[in-house]
Amino acid sequence: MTVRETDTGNMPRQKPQANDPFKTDLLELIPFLRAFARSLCGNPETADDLAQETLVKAWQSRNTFETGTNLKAWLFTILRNQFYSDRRRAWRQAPWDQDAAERIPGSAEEQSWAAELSDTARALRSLSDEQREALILVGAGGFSYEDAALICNCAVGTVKSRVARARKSLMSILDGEDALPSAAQSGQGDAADEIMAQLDRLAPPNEHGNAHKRRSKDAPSE
Amino acid sequence: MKTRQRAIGRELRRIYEDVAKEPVPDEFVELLRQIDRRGGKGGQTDS
Repeated sequence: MTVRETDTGNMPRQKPQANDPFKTDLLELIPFLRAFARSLCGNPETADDLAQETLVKAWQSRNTFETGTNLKAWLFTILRNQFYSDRRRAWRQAPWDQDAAERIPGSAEEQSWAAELSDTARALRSLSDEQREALILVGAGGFSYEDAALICNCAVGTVKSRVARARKSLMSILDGEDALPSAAQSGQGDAADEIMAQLDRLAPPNEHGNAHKRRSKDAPSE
Repeated sequence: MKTRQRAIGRELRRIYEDVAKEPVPDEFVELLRQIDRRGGKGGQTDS
């Protein structure tokens, strides 16, 4: 991806320091941006494009980041907004915008690539976007339910129910593939309970419904 | 069953961490260098 000339208009005027801490922090968080982008896009190349767009936007908006708040969550919010913004554009402009179109889960591009995934990774691709992003943020990314709610711009209770439904869906998909119907039927309730218990150990539960009120106003939406 | 459920939890983290552990492609570092230079010159291109 290239940096467009018009993008430079919003750049901070001050001369960057030799060891700019914001830049250092950005560099350190690139691996996680790539991982989250991959989970949203599926396709590795479009995921990296999305992560790079996120870096450019973050750099342009750096003056709006409050030092001391969670930079990783701020970046993930930008990345997620960019993902959905690109996809809305793809829906309006398809088939002209091939890059954005390839980010739509289930596209031919992604399906051919998905053939190389593990069973769990493939099952993950068949979840809804909302369930997948919630499960990845909390179950793999180590975010609290509250931070995940900030990133996804929804209530904490909504994140909790999305994660719970994602876990159940994942289990039933994998049970189906493993052709063990009796074990799946008798163990389904325990499975969901155990998974939620695991997640609660990872992320302490929070009060429902408060996250959206505390949502950061700093993360640019476009 | 529980062993398998834990395995799925581990697999989820592995899927995410496998990407996070990949070396960052050069184009990312180059991109940051590029936008840093552009910002430092007050928006002029450096090509």
